[in-house]
Amino acid sequence: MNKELYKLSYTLKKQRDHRIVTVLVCALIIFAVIMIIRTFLLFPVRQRSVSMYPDIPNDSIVLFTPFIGTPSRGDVVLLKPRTEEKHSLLYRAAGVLAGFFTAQQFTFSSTSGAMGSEPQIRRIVGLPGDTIYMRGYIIFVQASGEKHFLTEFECARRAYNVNLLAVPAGWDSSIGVGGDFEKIHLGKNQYFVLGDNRNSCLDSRLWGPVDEKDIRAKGLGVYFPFSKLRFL
Amino acid sequence: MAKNVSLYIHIPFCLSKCTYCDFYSVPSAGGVPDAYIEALLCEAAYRARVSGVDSWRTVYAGGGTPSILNTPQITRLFSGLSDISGGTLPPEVTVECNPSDVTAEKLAAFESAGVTRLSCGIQSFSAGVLQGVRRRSSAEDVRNALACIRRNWHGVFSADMISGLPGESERSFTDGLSELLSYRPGHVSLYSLTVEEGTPLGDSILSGRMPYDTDSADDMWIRGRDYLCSNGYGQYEVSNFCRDGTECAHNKTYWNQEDYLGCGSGATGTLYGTNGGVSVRETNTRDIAAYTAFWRPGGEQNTQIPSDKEILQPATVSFEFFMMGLRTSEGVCRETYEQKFGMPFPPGAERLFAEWQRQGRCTVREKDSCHFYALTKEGLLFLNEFLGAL
Repeated sequence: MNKELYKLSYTLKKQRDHRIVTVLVCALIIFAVIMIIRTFLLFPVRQRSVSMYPDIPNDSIVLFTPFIGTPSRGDVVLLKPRTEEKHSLLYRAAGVLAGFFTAQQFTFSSTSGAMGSEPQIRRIVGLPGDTIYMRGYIIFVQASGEKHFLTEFECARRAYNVNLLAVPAGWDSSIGVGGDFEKIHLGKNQYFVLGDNRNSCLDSRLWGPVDEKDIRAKGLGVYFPFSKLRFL
Repeated sequence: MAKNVSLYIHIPFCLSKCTYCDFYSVPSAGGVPDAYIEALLCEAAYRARVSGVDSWRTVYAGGGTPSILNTPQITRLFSGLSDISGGTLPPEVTVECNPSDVTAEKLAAFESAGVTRLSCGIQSFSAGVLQGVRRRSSAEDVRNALACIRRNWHGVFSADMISGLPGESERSFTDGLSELLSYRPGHVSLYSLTVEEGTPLGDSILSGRMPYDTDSADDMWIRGRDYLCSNGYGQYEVSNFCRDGTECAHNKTYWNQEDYLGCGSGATGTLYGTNGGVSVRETNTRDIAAYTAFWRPGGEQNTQIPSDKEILQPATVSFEFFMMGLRTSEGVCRETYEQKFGMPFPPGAERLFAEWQRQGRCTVREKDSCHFYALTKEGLLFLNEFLGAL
């Protein structure tokens, strides 16, 4: 009956088409606004490892902003992948859509599975001009212009927690991810980044300092799971 | 960012060492070297700068025996500390004092330097007891000092007493407390003797060479506590009593786990992480020569500060939160815990509080939308048992 009406009534048909177009345009506008916000203002990233435990546990979602400014000591940052994988525009668009409609529960991850082929979340512990060394998984910092070394926690702008497991007596702390290294000096635009899970994380201890241009975004807060809600 | 923290200054010099004392100090017949005062000020200025401190919340000079400082040193130390904090000293500036050092001139020097609170180690009024533990002050010195303080001191006066010193009887201890209160101190710290390994007295007792009854010392302390409470002194912490609201703001910094800097050889400071962050506790070297050489103004400074740093993870600080907070009559605050550690109040602690509340050893009260859990006067006697069960 309804189909018949639409065939007979040009007005009804026009109204129906108008509604469809309106809905589609609204959806497109909403999608475009969200994509603009995600690209230029805020975007979520799902943490898929324990490397930032305990402040950012596995499977939590962190809100990042590309407005980095000058990175500070203690900032949580999103680093560009160490090894960039090339994907088609369609593949990337599908990944964005999947993440969007599943609230980041599902995104297209690396196809090669190679280590470092995904963006990494890490914490900045050394700034350009610093001299740093590590003892017992803790970084000691002599900031540019300062005479003495302080622990990373005394220098950082904000408090954070790290996971330090005492290694068994007699254990060589250089096995696995080392807990000690001698003094190094950070040059211009060089940042030293570490995971908070100090015994079990790949970071600047392996890669060396990262360049400022490798920092893609700055972490603002953890918003999922809600029990871990916190500013970073 | 403006920051206001407490400062502890350690003067690790004594003219003689009491046999029960395990605080770090060295005998120094010649008093305190001027170079040590300059090193202290240099360290305080550095720590204030790197911690972003622009004013002191409280200052506490302990020891050792800070009262052996001479007048120019007193003036230099406190004017230097004042300069670091924008030309002012906080309302509470405490100096520990040995009764033998109390003179009208010294008290005047303290007052004009900005000291507002005098903490005097009386310990006992019995001549034999004081002599037995090799206190520098005789019973006569103690009485002269108290009379001098009553005549000349205008700030807050706090007196320390120790129950259970060898040779002290219940009668002599209570008589001593009664005599002390006749001088109307605003604040009394009442300790039960702690037998510390490594002290001459502790070694004698622990080796069995000196007979000692710990229960008797505790009974004496309980009688002392009741005596103070019945004379208008409120117990606001396990060992501390005051009247007219003269609580020690500096010690509350420790009990409330607020940041404090420690300067001087052997001093400890702690900077607490917020929202569940890591805290750092730093203890300076006990090598006075190395300390003074490192911090001497304009000296060849090594990049490594001579100190030990301890990284305190939230689980440790959380335990200390209960250990320190439950010492006070105010107790611990649930909301403060949640804010400090960024996690819910431990359900295990909640259950334990409920159990102790049924036994009359704990109170739960609400104030300004905050929930406080505190041990009762009797509950405080079992603080260690509570912490063990936590």
